[in-house]
Amino acid sequence: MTDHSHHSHASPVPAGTDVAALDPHVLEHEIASIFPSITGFSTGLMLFGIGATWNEFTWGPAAIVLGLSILICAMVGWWWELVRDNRLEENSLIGTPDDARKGLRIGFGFFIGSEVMFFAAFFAYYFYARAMAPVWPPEGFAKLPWDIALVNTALLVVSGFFYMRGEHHIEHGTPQRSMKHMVLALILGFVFLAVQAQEWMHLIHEGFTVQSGPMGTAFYLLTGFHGFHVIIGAIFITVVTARIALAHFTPQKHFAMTAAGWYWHFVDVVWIGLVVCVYLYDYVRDYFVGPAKAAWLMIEPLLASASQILS
Amino acid sequence: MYSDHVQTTHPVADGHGHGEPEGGHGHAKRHPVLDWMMTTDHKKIGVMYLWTSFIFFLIGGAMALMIRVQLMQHNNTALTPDFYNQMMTMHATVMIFLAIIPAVTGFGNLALPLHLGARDVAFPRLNALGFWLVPAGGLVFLSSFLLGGASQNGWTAYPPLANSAYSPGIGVDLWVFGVHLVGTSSITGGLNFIVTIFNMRAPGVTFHKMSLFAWAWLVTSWLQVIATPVLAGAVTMLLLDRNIGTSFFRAEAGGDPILFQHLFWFYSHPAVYIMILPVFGIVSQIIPAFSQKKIFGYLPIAYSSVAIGLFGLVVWAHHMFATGINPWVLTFFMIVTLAIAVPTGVKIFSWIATMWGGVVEFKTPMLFCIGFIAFFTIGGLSGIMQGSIPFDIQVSGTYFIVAHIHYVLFAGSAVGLIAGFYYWLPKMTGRMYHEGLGQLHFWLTMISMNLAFFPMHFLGLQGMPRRVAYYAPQFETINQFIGYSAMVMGFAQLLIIAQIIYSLKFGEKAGNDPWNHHPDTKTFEWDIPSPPPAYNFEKLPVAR
Repeated sequence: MTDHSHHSHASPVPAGTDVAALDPHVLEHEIASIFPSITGFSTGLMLFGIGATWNEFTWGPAAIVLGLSILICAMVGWWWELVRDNRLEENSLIGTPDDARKGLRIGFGFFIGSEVMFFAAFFAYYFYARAMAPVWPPEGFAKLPWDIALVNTALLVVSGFFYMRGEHHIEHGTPQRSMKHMVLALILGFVFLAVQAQEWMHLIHEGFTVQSGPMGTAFYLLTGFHGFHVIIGAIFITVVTARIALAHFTPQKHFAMTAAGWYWHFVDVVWIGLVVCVYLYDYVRDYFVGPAKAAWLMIEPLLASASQILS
Repeated sequence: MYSDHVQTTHPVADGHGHGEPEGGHGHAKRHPVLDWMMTTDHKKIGVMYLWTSFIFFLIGGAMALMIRVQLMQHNNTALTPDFYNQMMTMHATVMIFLAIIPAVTGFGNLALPLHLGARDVAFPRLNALGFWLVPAGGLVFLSSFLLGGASQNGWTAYPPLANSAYSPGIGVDLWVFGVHLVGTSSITGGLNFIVTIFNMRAPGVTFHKMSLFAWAWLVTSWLQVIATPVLAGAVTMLLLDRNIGTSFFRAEAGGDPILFQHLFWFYSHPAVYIMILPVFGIVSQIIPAFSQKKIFGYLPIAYSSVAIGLFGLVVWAHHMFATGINPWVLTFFMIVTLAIAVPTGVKIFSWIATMWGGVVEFKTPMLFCIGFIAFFTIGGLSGIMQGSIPFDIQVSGTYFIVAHIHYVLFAGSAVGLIAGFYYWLPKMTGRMYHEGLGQLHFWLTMISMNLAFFPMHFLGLQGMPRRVAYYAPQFETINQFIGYSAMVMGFAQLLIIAQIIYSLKFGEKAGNDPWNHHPDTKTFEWDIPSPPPAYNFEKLPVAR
């Protein structure tokens, strides 16, 4: 399978070429899968169950459990099919494996772009709420604890570093060393989640909840959706690590690993944006001196008015 | 519908030692229902999208007729106020999220890979998921009728009305989940089409040679990926405000309902381009085909789509002229809104110039395109009127807005989609539709559509509020006139079913190219049989 010529637009293959001659598998295998339809309907059932549960229908939780169970099975099946097909390089509908990987790169990049837009909506709320409030933190609220935030930042950044080393070792043909780095990256991800959960419990215990006005809403929803993405990333890394153990990747061929890495770094970047805007900003703004203060005095009213004129 | 062409022309030679790909041996024996549920063929998925959207079009149409029945008298008791509000909300929701967007996506699935010379979309399984999320979303939307009533907040679901204090019950919650499902469908579809266009064009199909339908989808798919997640965020915030006591939009808890409008329209204004740009693409294919003449202004049409997409992302607050936000900001939104008339005008003049001096054949697809140009333009012009702040403040909340939206979404999107239906129906079924019935469908639709929607302008200018089950007695005559016209218009659409049956059973064989395209207007799908075989091309197509 390694010696086909490309037949994408960038390739020298002339038009009119018999497709079967390019790739003997093309005409034999239909990509057919039951998992997309099951995924669609089970997601619907799960969300329907959540709505029913919140509206006190007794069967609501059963619908959630059923929908979620089917969804998990469908996702496992789907992922398994993808791994199988990619290993067999049967995805040849879309040209050579190189073409397929290029498509995956573009597609995954846009997927992360759509995730960025989802977070943008919640960051927009945060800035908007700040601009609306006379003071921030609102009266009666303390600043968020910066020390835990910095610890968590260090955890994610170091985890991202281990991930990069893991990828480096795959590219250089030393999968055993890659495994070690991946496991470390994964463990740091879980420690991050544990620390974050600890912080949530601490704050909730002190009476700061999601119902504590805009600050509580912004804090819990931004960190909550971020944490959810850390969980997704951790699942992704777990699968990739298992595939390293199964020797699925070669120095040239490991897009799943690249994609999981992009996702992990994206989660990292969102966290850093979150820490700067939500945790540290309120400490740092008081300590601006000299040119930083001058610059700040110019920027702050701009930021504030940008949010205020929309309200 | 599609023959198992691949297997018959290329007998399977096993022996590659590759596990058991499903299609290899089980395909022929699979139950037809399972076959459709498992398919990843872009053409079959396109057909499923079109069927689904047509069924929801009929459901949404039935809801519209119930609204019109209530409005036949100024103080009618045909519907309860609650049920009227549910009909009003779900008519718009069904038409936008379950009829028009899936229909444009259906034609995109059907034709885009063929126009590019590709054998399928980039991610066939993801494409299938995108489709299945639509019926799943539809079921979630409609199930609310059985569980105490659907949302009564209009398709815009503005808080505070949509907050739990004023809209208790499951309706708004299921509405939000329905939006999540169809929104996810939109994002996956957009991702798929972006990669398909970037990565899967056949040799020689450069960006400046690909079809204008593909150009329209290139812009549309970007809008879907950029804007839809923000709607997901907005409705999620609404859901959390309703159910776990957050303070996103609840003023009493420190939130601001205006922010919902910003986030909602950040998606929902681009959404009107998601619903119209692919239709511009369809019209840009049909008009040259039936004028036997190369499209006039290929590049201006292509790049005007890009301009519309870019402008479309920064005009959202023109839906908020009446909210009292800073007038200087609104002035910016007004100017950009009015500027959109320029690229849209470029398209309209290019289509007319294409017909000019061409050999125009007035077959049904072409008739619907000409109807599209004529009457979409009315919606475009009333859009310019509303784009002006002083005028919009007067008509905001009146029937003038209803007139505008229906000229844009029915006379625009729906009429253009019907043109696409007639254009590609022979390609889908392999047989022709009935031309006389098609012309009847055209004239019935055009006349009744204008009789139904045009008087709404007058009602709006006279101050009749939209979205309300009762109105002042002096508007009764016009409302009755609209009601009867709407019924003719609604029932005329049943001719589509007749055409599908005729085309499947009785029509004459279509051959590769029933329209005898001029070589300058011909896309790849007209070089291969009708219906096209699985995986479309046995030989890489030759770019023209």
